Amino acid sequence: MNILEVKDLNISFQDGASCKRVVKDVCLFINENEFVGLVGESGSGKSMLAYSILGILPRAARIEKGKILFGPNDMCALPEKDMRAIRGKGISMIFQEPFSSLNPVLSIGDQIGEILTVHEGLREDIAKRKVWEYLDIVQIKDPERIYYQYPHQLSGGQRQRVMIAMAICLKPKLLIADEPTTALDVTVQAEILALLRKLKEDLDMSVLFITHDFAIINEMVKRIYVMKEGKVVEEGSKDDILRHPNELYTQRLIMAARNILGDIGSGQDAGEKYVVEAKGLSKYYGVERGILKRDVKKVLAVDNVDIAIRERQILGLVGQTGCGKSTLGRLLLGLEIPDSGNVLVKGKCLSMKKRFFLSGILQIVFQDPYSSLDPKMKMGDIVLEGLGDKRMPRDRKDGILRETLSKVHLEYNEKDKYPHQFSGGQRQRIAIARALAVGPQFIVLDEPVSSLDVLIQQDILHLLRDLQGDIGMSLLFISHDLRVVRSFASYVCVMHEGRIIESGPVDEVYENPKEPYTKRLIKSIPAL
Amino acid sequence: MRRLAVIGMGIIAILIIIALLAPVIATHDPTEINLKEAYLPPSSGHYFGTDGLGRDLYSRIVYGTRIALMIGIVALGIATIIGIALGSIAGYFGGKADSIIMRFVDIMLCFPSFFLILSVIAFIGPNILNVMIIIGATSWMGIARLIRAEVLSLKSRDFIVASRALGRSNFYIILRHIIPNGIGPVLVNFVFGVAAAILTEVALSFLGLGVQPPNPSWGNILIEGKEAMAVCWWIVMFPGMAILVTVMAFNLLGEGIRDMLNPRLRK
Amino acid sequence: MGKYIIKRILASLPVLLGITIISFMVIHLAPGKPTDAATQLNPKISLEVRERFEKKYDFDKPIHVQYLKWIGKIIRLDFGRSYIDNRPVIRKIAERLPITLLINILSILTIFMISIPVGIKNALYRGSVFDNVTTCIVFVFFAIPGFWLALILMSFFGVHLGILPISGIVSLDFENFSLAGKIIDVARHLVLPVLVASLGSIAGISRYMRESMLNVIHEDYIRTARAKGLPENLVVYKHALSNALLPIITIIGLSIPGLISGSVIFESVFSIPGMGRLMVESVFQRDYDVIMAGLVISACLTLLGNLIADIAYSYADPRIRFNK
Repeated sequence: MNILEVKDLNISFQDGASCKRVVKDVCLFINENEFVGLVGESGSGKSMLAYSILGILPRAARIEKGKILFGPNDMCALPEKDMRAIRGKGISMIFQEPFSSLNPVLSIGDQIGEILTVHEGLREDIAKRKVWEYLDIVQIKDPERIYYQYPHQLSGGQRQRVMIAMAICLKPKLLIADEPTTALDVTVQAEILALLRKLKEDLDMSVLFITHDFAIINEMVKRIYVMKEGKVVEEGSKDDILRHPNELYTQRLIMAARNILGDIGSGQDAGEKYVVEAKGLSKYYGVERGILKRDVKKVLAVDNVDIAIRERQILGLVGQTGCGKSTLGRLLLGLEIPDSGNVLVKGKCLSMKKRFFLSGILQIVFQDPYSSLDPKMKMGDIVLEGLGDKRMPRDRKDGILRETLSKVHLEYNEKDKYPHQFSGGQRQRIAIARALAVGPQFIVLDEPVSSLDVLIQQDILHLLRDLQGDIGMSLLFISHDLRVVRSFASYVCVMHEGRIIESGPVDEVYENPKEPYTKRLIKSIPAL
Repeated sequence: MRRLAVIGMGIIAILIIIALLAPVIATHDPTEINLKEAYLPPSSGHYFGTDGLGRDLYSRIVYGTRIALMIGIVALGIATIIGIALGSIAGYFGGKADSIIMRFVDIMLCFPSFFLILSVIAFIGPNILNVMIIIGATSWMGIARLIRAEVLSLKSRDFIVASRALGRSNFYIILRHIIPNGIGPVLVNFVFGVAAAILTEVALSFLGLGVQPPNPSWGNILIEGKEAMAVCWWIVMFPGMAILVTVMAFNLLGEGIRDMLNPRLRK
Repeated sequence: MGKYIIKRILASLPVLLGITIISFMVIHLAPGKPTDAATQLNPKISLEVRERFEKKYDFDKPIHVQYLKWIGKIIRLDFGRSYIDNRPVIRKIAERLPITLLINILSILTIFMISIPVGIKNALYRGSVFDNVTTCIVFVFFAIPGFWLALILMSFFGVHLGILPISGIVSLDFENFSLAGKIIDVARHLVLPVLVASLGSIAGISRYMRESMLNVIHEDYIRTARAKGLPENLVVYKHALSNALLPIITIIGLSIPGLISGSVIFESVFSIPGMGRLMVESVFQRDYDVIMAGLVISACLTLLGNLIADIAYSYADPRIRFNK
């Protein structure tokens, strides 16, 4: 018995002057009490499809033709009043970013309670008690207190639970979950996924789970639709598709989830000598001075860390958000001054005065390809920025530009374009080229692929691996994504609250974690 | 939106030409008194009519363009220089310098600008130079805050850190990264500021504390306009329209520049 | 919250000090001594008398001493005496201040009542005829000099139509009116001044409101509100507006000095006996004590206004009210 059926759906989107088809002839159905997955990379139209089911498409989007049948109703043809009755009650939705999806100036209780008062006409005090009930169901501790709090006072996991409570409090037949765990830490992600599984059973509802991550799909759903550029390119049971994917696109998505980088070999072997060493590094953050000039509040971002990277080694640094990994990376490059401890570069102590001369040895690539490039500089100038004041004849600089650009697979004749004219993946290549141009021996990669689409991530990771194989520089790969680090690095350090709690060769740490925190982390990784 | 900026630019260009070619465009000497021709309505001899002393209104308004533009641009020039200097020091060096400068800005912002301007004019006397200086000295606070905010936001942007990692000096970073990225809002502020400065000068002259007669300012022409309002509508209308058109032109230009800067920054 | 209020008040004290310093410096800008105008123009005053005059005003002492003595006086609200009629300055200001305050407060209310709904409607019906027409009107109002508008309104409503009075705040036979009559009379006199005073700000703030609403409408939490099936007016007036109004509080606070400044203009045009006109008159008469007092008091009022706006904002925004 299907509760939702989408027939020949076509949606167009008005982007400035051009009109694009973002959903093309899509057909899908969802049965009662079923977990269905919708997989695809960004821009494949999955979110637009979801919005259209609920009737909350943005102004610029329009349903060109097709039907969305929910029970006896065609959602495309229903008047707004009737659709509103179904939204939140028959079909509800949870979104990717729990922080921005909650109204910052209304209390939690208010935001959940209004669903009950609007749809069911409940009195305020009865609604309040129901809200407490549901906060409890989504496993929020101390619901009476949370009722009066505001979104900024809650953690990411708590916020997503609040969103889930809002979505299920009227016991909908269908819950649409649009990338609900992508923005969460891996341990929290595991908890939320478990919660969703439990709720589905308890409430006897269907879930349409939208994601780009096949590993999550594997843990959650039984049936899958794969979307590419607005079309459904594959559909079937999860087991069938995982074992025999027809499309290359699907295969690439599965490989991304398994994080197999192919057999290029694992880069060069690490050397004996250390290129960068650090002992006893500590750094405080957010120091607040009380009235009497005493340090009142201090947070230890990096706490007494010892770390060392050998020549030609790829070292992975993993940890959840806020554990201090970025700070550690910058300390190792001399971009921040440690409050205690010191850093040795090729045996010599790193001092801030000599920092300038080290730009040839140490470099960095950032996470956000949009803010790491100066929007007012041309691409060629950006790549050569590190060589600017070294006295070099123009054609030699040009030669270096050509060479570097070809290594990162960018076109030389695009050197006069500006950053906004490139895609996210290309911008990250520009950032990598900028770091490579000065010929460094050690590059810190601070979440270099976290802001990119999942398939583009694979491209960049392949590129970085190739480069390391060619040039042989040491890499410090900082990431919160444990799967990526596993396939990319040869040695890993696990960081938690400013400390390195475990380190060792990658396979060892992932297969036999010793510390309880590491064990929790490894267990949370969705398996494929 | 771009169209409006172009219209604004066009009007301003015309105004600048009028100001520069005033002696050529005017039909009479703006200060020439001719009591026999007082209070005449607009005609072919006097396009905008005459005032109480028989002076040709059209010529006075044409010369008034010079004064309005000059005062507006010079005053804003002064304000912009002070604002950029203080704002960038506060933003880039932070710490004590930042606290002191921002305190100073807060204090200055507490004074209603007219009260302050009146007080200073009371002591140093009303003339064109003083008006320019005092308007400039009371208009820099907004620019300073803006520059400081820009510098602060740029300071922590990744491409600045990357620049440092590549070994670049502070001087290079300011010149090559901070100024090109920060100049946009300053330009917008300048254009809107000129409009505001012109309005301030005109009001001051109207009160008798700005440009003094016989120098023609649209504001002091309106002093007479107030008296003769009931009978000589032209003395009220034409200077007012001149102010309106000029200020609107600058506002349109400012809005246009502001809109042009925005979409490009969006991903 | 209480702690926040105390912190803000304490932070305002240095600003208060700064206000007095700057005001003091303004006076001593003048070449020559301020008493020159009072004494030099009168040839009958002998050198002796002039010296005694100057000593009375402490001009012979070093400047920081002058400053401290002046501060001591103004803390006790002794702003000296107007040399025109020798009445205490504080009394003159106390007579004029309420009127200016009344007009400004009425202006703020008017601005609230007009620009916020207009801004909201503009944002909701972006690109519509209403939006475009109001945008044009707003542009024009931005560019109109206040006093010129006042003149035109005066001549239209006051002279041609004769329905509104054009000067002062009370009619000649005010005393003979009943209480209700008195209130109506004052109200009629205030219509034009309040209109002129608020027009510029109405234009500005309705633009800000429009922009703020447009920003908020595209936020994710509005999408969530719609996905919950809430009726549209709840989405707009509860979810969107509560966020969009926050920056407006700050902006209204920031426009207070502008409003007080504006009183100079419309009080002069409409012959209203308020603070602004007092300032202008004192400038012409070189009544320095009054000028200084006006400067300090108006700046303090602005400071107070900003403080109130600040506290209102921190109360309205739970992210500040409940800060860990």
